[in-house]
Amino acid sequence: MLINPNIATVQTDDDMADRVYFQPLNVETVSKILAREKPDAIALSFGGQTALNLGLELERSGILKKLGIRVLGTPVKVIETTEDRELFKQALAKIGTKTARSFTAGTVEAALAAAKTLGYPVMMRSGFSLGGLGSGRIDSPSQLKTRVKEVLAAVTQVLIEEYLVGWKEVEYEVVRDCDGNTITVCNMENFDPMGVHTGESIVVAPSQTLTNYEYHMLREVAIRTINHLGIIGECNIQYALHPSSGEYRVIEVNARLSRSSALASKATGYPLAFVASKLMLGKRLYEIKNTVTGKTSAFYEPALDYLAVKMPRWDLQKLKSSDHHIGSEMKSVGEVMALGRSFPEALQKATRMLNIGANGLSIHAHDISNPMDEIAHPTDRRLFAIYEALKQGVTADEIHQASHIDRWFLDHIVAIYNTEQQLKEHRLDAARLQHAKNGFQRHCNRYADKPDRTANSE
Amino acid sequence: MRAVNCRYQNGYRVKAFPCLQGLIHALTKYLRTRGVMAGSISAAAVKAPKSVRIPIISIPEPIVYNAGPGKKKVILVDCGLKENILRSLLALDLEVKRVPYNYDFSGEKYDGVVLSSGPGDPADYTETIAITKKCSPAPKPLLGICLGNQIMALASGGTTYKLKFGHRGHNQPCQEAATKHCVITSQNHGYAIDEKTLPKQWRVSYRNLNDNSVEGIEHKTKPFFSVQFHPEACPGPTDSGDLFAKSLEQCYERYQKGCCFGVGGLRIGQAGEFDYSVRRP
Repeated sequence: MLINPNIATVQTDDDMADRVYFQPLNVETVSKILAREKPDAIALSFGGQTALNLGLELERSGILKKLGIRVLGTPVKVIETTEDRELFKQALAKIGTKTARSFTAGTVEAALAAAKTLGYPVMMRSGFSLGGLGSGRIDSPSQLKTRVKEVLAAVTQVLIEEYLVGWKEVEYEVVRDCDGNTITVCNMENFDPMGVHTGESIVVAPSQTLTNYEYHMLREVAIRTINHLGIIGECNIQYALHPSSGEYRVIEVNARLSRSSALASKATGYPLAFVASKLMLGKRLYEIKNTVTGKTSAFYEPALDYLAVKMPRWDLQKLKSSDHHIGSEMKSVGEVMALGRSFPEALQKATRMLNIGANGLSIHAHDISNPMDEIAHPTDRRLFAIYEALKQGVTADEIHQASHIDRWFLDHIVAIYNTEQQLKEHRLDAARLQHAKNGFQRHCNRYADKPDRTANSE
Repeated sequence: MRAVNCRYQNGYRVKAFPCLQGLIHALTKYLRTRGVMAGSISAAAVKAPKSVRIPIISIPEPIVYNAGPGKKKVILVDCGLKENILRSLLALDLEVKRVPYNYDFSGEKYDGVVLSSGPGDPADYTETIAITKKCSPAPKPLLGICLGNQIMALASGGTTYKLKFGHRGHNQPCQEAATKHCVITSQNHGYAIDEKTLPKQWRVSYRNLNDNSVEGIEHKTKPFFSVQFHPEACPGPTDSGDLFAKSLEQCYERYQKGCCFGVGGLRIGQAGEFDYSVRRP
């Protein structure tokens, strides 16, 4: 049986559950349904943040105990640890995992004191929230006062956190069974560094700019953390990673299937939701069949010889007065994913699939008068602003300094720009056509005699 | 597939050299149903050899590292050693005597032996196998990694065979037989131990989850322990680094003697490997 008031989702299709309740997801309604249906168990991790929060409330209200209903998968206590910022910090500190320096505050005074200790700017987040609601960069005490008041009207605590400007944002999708067998199905790296919500970022899977040490260090921390917390099923762990020192902070753990899981699942072919549901029922990873090979088990980590680029889609132009700046609150309404053999190929494909009138980075409908401003203060068209800036003769270094976007990503955009120039200046022959069709960036560079704008970056 | 002249740019030194395009996918598609086979890359059409004998790689003379009074002494048999095995041992502050593959150390004083990884058919290492046999009556810790695992099996009377598909890459899933605990490991081997031929005093400690082949063996009563994967792999997952050290500790605790050589953390700089095991047809 399924409870979901959303009629516009596959989850509520006829053949998905024996009985579907199109009822609001609040304690009163759901308690009534549970009392009537008397299910043996409930699953909380397939309904996003709403279902997790509801599960916590149901547990607190005592109804689950009264009706003898088991929670499948990750226990409610663990969900509480991942959602309550203070408990989360304490749990991770026990195993020596680093989290961002932060203080929780339930009052404006406490928030001000915390910010004073950390030094401005600080990052404000709210607990138990979805899509980074109520969070953002705070530059001054007066700004903090107003924002904390607003947020505390809705939730009981805020988190004042060190502002990790310019750090890379990386996440791992982790699967764990009830015996503690753990794998990381996929990792993902944000094109946009810390400060821009993952839902607002261009995301690349698998990561492209990490060293072996960084990749495996974060993987090991992910496995250690998820084992310590005791999550059963699927979850996602997010990190901030310093671009040069290799220092990291765990930002959060989501003990549920999320949009990132959907991306990881599609990018790798690993059936995350399917496997997570089996794990909830007590199966072990090695007992579940690998649906791709049909012979081996689900205890494996997919290897990709391609990459996936996820790009958010905004519809901000529909609201005339809306602010086009993006940050730690989600404004995007959807996303597309493109697969490619190289980053430029996947990036260009994703741009076309957005259906916003752009036919790649070079052909778009935006009129960007001051690209550097939109690069430094990200807007929904920052990617195109980068391209426009290159056209105006700005170097990749300058863009990097303004945006902290990794040079690896920027160099590939430079390569796209260079290719466009070459196609403009020369006759289109078979070799140039193939070069362009191959996603612009095969290492076999046929134009080696032309000076490259990034050639001296050894 | 076709040959092209490549120039690496964008942060690489510009240098022209020949390379092959489209090779990996074409080869993968060809080999994934047929299994591994000998081949050659040549400008003219030549007949590929049926089998290739891989020369044994070792050092000419023993080398002693980190010598000092009071330190536990480990014999490291070099059959084409991965440097990170040596680095991992040195990180534990052990005195390491690295010896050639055919060096007879059985008359010397030592606290433990490590049989290294290496290329080729394990059955070719007749001298190494004979020396290992000689030292097996002594209850001194004996640890094998990769080729060392196969040499251990051969010295104890078992046999090895060539896998249809070698295990290559750093995402090989393995399961510990005793606990059912699973780990992702780094592997690079084309031969495996034939489980049926293992003597009674030995048991399988690890199995590959993809094809169920043997990935580790241990002696039931003596501190002899070996694994087919690379716990010290770099680049590679760190899952078994810890686990391996733990298993060894247990192994030695039972004997209250000798030393524990676990495997240290990862280090950058270990090169990747390739299939160097094409011999048995």
